[in-house]
Amino acid sequence: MEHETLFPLLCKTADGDKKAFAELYKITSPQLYAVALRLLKRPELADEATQDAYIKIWHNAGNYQRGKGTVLTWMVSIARYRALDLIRYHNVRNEVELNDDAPSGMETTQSIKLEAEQAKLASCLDELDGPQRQAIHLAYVNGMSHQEVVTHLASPLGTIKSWIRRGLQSLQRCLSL
Amino acid sequence: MNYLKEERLNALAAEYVVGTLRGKARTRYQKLMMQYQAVSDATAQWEQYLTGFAETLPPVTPPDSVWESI
Repeated sequence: MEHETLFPLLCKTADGDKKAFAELYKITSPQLYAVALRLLKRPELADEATQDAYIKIWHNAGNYQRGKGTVLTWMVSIARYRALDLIRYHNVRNEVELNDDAPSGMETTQSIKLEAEQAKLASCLDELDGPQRQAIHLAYVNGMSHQEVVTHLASPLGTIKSWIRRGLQSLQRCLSL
Repeated sequence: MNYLKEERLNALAAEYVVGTLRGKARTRYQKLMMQYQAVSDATAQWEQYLTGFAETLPPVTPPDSVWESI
């Protein structure tokens, strides 16, 4: 879906094709919105982050570099950074329910299928130690600061930082095999 | 430049993408990304590594008003 669909749509968007942009939005917005909503919790802020992200995508479509990653990753990253800015700007507090933690495995979504690369990523994420994956997940998906992860997992700051750092190192090692 | 030492850069890029690099450190990192190709490459690499976390969240359709204001 990535190569057949998203890339051509993004190319047309870069040429100013509004219909292609609308189609790109239709296909990808449920994923970007899910990411923003998870980070921001408040729907009105998730709306704002998603709007801002697509305006940026419209203006910067021509800056996408295929060699650096998939179209969806590029778009999701734009939405994430905008949401992270809004978290700080609005001082969004992260109080996640205890049962809303890291998933035990990676679930595939109905709308966007995992490609081979992503399947490898999922298996590497699964190989991480539970606490490492959970700490990275809370920071990356829920937008928690180190301090918020400390509170959430009731472990000292040094431990949390080291879980995240070592988890990221293991992930990189696994992915570069 | 200290920031550009490979290991340090790699760790910083990872924390930037995870979102735990905050405040002034984050702003400084964003400036480095604009200045140095190596920094933006490392960032893109980590975005690709971690995107599985984001792309496996169950999709949520945004309200129509979001598209209307775009």
